[in-house]
Amino acid sequence: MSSQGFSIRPTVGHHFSSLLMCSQRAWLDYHGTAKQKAKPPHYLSKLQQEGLDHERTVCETLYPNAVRIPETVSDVERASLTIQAMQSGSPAILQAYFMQDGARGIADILEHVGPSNSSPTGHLYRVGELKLATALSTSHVMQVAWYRELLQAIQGQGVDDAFFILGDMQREDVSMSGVHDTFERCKNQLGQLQQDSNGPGPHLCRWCKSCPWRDVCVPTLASQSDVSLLPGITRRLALNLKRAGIQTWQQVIQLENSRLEQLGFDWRDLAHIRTSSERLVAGEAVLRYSIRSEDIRSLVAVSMEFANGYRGVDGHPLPRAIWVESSDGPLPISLAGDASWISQVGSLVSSRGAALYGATETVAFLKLLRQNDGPSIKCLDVLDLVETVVHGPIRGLELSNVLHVAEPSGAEPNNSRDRVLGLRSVINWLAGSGGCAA
Amino acid sequence: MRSVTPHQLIEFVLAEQRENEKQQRLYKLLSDEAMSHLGRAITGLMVTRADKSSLTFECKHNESRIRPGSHVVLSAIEHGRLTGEVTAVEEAGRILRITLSRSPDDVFVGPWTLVELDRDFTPLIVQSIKKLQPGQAGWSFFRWLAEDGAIPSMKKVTKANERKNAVERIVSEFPFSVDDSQRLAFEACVNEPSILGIQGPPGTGKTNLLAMVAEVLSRLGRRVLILAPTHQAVNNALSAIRSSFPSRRLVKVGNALRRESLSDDVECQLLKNAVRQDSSRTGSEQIIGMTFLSALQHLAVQSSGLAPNVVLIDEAGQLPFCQGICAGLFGAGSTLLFGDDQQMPPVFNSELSSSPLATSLFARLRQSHPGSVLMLNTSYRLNGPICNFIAESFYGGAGNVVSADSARHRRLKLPVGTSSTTALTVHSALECEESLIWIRSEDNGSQQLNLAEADAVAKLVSTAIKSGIPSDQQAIVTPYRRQAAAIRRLIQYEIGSGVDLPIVDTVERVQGLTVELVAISMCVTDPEYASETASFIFSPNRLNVAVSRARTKVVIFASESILEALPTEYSGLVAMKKFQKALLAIDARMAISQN
Repeated sequence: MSSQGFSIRPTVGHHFSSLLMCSQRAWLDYHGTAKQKAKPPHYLSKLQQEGLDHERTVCETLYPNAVRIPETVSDVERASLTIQAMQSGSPAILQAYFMQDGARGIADILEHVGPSNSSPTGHLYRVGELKLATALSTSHVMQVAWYRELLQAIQGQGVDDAFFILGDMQREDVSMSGVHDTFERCKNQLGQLQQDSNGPGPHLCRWCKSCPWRDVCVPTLASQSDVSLLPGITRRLALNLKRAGIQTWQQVIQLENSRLEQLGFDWRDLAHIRTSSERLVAGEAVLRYSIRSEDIRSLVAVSMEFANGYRGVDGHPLPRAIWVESSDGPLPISLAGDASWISQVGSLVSSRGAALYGATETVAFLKLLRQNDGPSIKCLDVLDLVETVVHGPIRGLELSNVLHVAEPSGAEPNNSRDRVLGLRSVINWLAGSGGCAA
Repeated sequence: MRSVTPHQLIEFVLAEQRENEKQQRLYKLLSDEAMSHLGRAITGLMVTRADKSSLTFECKHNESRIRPGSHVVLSAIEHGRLTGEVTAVEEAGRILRITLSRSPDDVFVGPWTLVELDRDFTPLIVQSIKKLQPGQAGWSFFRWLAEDGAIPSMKKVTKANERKNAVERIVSEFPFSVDDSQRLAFEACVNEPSILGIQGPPGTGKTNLLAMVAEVLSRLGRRVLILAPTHQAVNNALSAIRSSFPSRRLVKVGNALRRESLSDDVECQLLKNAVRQDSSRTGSEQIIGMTFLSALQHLAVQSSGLAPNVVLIDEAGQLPFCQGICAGLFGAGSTLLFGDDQQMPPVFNSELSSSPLATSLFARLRQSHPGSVLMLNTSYRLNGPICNFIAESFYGGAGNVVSADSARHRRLKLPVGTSSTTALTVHSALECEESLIWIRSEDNGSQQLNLAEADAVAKLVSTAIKSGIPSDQQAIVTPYRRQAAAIRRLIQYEIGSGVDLPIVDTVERVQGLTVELVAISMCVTDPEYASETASFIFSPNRLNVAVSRARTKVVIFASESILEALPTEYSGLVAMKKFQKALLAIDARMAISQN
């Protein structure tokens, strides 16, 4: 039983991915509740949908005769159907389901290797996974190693190679023996986390921004004034600090530079750490790198308004207006009619540069200017900037989430006008009050 | 192997341009301090000398990657901006000479901030790739390397006797003896195959071989063009020809300022002058060298009148595939690649580094036509143990690269023994017979700076200096410029002023160097940081280059804790495992001594 009163969850494939990002995340995967989970950022939901579309395309193309294990029946039935498909020697099995004590797994593909007298099922299969990415991550490989282990328990022997069909439809084979020791290490660590009632504790890192448990960890870190709220502090450094009796970021900045260097800080980072602490005090964004605040503050907030349901030949949504920040508030500039919008946009944005939120809007804006011989305007994707330079604390990358940190009373901007206003709050939050000498 | 189309190549190049532009937009918003932290800027530069169109600057700290040839912008508050090119970097980066684009009326002494400008050659590369059309020049070369299953045409070897005689003459004239693998490669090149790769592991005489090939083909009346990714590499190749064949006329086409390492009597000329001279000769008496991008500009995109018969591409392991695939546009019947894809690769934007197109021309040749790559197998630089180490770790087995008889038994000999006050570890590391030593650093949570390790490295190196190993026979390699700066300071403290420091730098800056003793400071001990940077710090190519600078001894400072790293990228995991295997193969292990 977990400390939350639930039966301890079995290990599944994505636990390996969590472990590689953050041990606390993996622990919460075992012990956290559904209510504690934050909504995934919009772009992650979009990616998941693209992943499902990719899977469908691959299966229809490469495995038209595969047996698909339905997801609508019970887990027990799914596991049973998987074994039946293996016993019948199906050429391929999609969404194969593994169910063992303390362990679950759903493999995208089991590919038939050949008949085997020594296998209880009479056939041998190898594991395959479909990925939208064009390059493998360690978590992909660990996940497949996990499924291979579960498969081995059924068919009595393991097939060394597993495979991936990547986003560019290329197949990549991986030898499982080459990663066996890494897999065992990860599996043991997960086993310990599964049984541990306390967990390693939260630590702010670059994965927090999209972590489903961010609403559990980040408030805890903020309330405890954890040292990891300062940039550049790994778990190891935090441990060293705690061993030296330093628990909070306030205690860190009270130390003399010489003591901080003894504890492992680089003297070049000390000024930035002190600036970061001032930002924490002021409730401003803590940054991994110092920025030219005035240059950021002077950017003009821009938002694209798209025609609902209309898409260009390349599948991207068609813009119908550009909303630009002005001294009279957000100003809509219609794209219908003549090309006068170009000079309007140019005069409002001029040499200050445009700030938009997210790749969709930024790319659409740049493309529009290029296609219409518009002025050369320097353009910044603020979401990109946030991802790159913001350390924390932050609750997620939805504009509304960022707004919530920037201005706690900020409402969800559901139209372009409000997005311009919201973007201005984010820009000011990033730029801070103190500014940074160029 | 994945087939690629010109369109896919263009998409890749444009994607890299977009990512670079995105990065540039971000950099413009970072403070000077942040840019300095990232190695892209130097702050606090003061002018110490002003000539007509160049300035000499001095600074206290330079941890940037800026080097001769870098294009830079200098800015100072209320004094505007200047642009120019770095022509010299001295005193471990504290002194820089910069040639300005325009001479200023008066010069502000400082402080100035210098930021590196990235030059964008995308339009040139895209324009070149667009010229790759079926039936046009360059299409066959493209197909051989781009299409799965396409096979290079086999050319009938003409004038076999003439070639054979020319080979024998060159071999007899050459100041060094030619081993079997060099001979095989030499003869294969002289037959002017459509395409051939010569892999030169460290110290195997690749550049000397290139010199022989260039000379013999020139004597056979061929117009020979030598290309390389960088000015330095072109200059090295031309200088190698000059030193072995002093009467051969050589011309470097390109910026006259970019003469580093080039023999004094090799002229730098404009292309039109070189072409005029070339066409006025009945035979081929001159060999022309230029950078690959310059060749794309002048031979692929424009018509310069230069029509090489044979193109020799040096350092093809550092030439991006998307550029190198255009080599067929130069119209040569034979393209010979010299390089090593187990040493430094080309640099790509990190967002695209996992793409299958993020590879070198040489690596692509090996992947598409492994039978078209011949490997030189005798190292004249590395002693037996070091050679075995790199052969096992990077070249598929100890027998694939062997140490030459003249090098095999070399060991580091201290002219003066270490003193009785020398720390035990330093004494053991320097005096023992072992050529590869792993000194285990403490796990102190270090990232880009590890003072304890820097101190140990400094003690080792300064002891070696005091024991008679000259500074210019030692090199210290570390992944991080901060660590390099710390090591330099500590060595200076140990040996005092008036003694030159050995080179202490990242591996990019020690390419081409040969010394007796190399110390490698891995620096990182924090496994979490090692996980994040795994593809970089565990890179087998970087380790290969670092280790193979040494003739007789390599001392690696590394903590066991980095082997606990769990890299998130699979390529990083693969690199770490290879590194782990190599490190664990070192039998001689010591702990950093406390005394």
